[in-house]
Amino acid sequence: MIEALFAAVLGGLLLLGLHRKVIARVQQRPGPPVWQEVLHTLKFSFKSTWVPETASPGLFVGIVLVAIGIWTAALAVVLAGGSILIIFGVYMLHKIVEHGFGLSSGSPYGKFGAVRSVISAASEIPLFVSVAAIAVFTGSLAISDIVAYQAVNGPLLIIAPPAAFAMYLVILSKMPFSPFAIVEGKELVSGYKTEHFGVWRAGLEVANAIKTSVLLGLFLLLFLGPLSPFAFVVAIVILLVSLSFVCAVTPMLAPFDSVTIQALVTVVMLGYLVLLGVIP
Amino acid sequence: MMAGKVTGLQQGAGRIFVVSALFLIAGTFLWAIQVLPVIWYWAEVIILFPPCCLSLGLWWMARGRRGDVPFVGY
Amino acid sequence: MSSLGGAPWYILEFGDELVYFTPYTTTLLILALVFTVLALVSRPERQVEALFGTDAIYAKDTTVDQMRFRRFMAIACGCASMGAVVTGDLFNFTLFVALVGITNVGIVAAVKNRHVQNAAFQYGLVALTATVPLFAGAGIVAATTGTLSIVALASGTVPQAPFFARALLCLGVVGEGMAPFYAAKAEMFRAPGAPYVIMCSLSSLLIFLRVAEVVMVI
Repeated sequence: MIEALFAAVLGGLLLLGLHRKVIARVQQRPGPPVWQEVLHTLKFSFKSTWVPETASPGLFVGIVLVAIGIWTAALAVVLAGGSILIIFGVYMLHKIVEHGFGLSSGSPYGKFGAVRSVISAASEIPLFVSVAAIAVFTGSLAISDIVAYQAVNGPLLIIAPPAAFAMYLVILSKMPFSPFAIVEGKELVSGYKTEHFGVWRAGLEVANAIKTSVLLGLFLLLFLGPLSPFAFVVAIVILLVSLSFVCAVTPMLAPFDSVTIQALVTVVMLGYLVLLGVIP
Repeated sequence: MMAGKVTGLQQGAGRIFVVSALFLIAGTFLWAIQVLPVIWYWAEVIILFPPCCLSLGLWWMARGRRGDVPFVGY
Repeated sequence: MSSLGGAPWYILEFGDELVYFTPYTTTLLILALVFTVLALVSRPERQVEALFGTDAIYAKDTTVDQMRFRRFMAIACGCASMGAVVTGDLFNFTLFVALVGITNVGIVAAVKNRHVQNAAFQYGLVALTATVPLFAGAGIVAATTGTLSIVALASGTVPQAPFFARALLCLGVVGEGMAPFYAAKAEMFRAPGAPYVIMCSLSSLLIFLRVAEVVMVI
């Protein structure tokens, strides 16, 4: 299974590279090569590295380890067909990791990125939890059961489109350059990543690569069901290109607007739950 | 900068890398011959993969320089 | 839906109260544990700020006394959230959640800064008010179903908890873990000491995730 981990890292980095390429092409720029993010990660690994004088050293280093660890765990849960509640937990911790990245250095830019990560957590996590509406159909939240259900009844994308939309919005929020990516807004230099350079940033890139693979793969498993490896790769690329199009043509929202839109979608999801009869 | 000179920090990171990589390889082998249950194997990967990743880069380039102040403006 | 978070690996019984470790609760427990350890071992960072209207920058320091108190509160908060995520008893859950609320206030209140103290005071008011729906929710569950054991409630052998009680429980937990909702005001972040401030947000989000599971199974 260590090969799955390497595939997730490399695949995630290539997907992020493709993301940048598609955005550039939509905006009529040549854009970086698709393997640019792989080069980036390698470049950061070989940079001179130290800890800022004002940082909290334990947290500054520990948080990078936690970032890689949690997404490795999420990958394990997806591969084992575990409960998506655990993925919610990991996703929640990812917000805390962003928070920790920003606060641990003492930099004002990092701090504001960190503040924004908590603000967006207050709307993103309820949104992600609303995906649990699919349990009404499948009777279980285990990924393996959900995939088995779809093998019999067809994809949940058609059965429960609002849940798919909520999950799509969650993934969109986590893509770089997305309208909801308020934690790394350019007015904050690099947001929560500002002070993590060199090896620390390389570690963060590895975590982001695994995160991208896990979230995109999870969407396909939850809403399209069992796919052959070839169909899986094709579907993941189509999903990514659709996300890149959205990112390319939309400006970044102000933090308040971003939270409002995510909260409104959560309210719509609650309405959907009422419609399904879960909430009387 | 003391380019090329291996510092204590780099030596330590190198040791962490070798130990964690050895454990990962041993774990993969034990899992493949079905001695190690899959859940313990995953626990091992989750705990050891992050330090393995970071220590490789640190061994390569961490010169143990004194910390700098954060970036506060252009 | 008795096994939302996966089948329990291990159930620790204290008489009729029990602590259970499903893959879900175990994940949350480990997350709380990791951050409690980080709060224990890391020194607080020194926030860099610019002096308004000048080019000068300065770094805030945390005094040792303040650091000791906040570290203690952060560890207590970590322990309370660990309790809240693994307990199998609804009343214990509400108690742990109330403790998370109190320690959150404590972490913030130790900082001697007018803005931070103001934030702590407001947290205190919200946390205090939120205990009413929190304990009322648990009380109504006990009154209507005759049990407070989450395992018994999930098994379907007792009547399902009323929707109103579940809504009250959610409201109470949201009130106790109010830190993320105050983040936009950023008063709390004037306080240096990242490991401790993070415990506030972490414990709040952990209890939200746990209550999501609890209201789905009971």
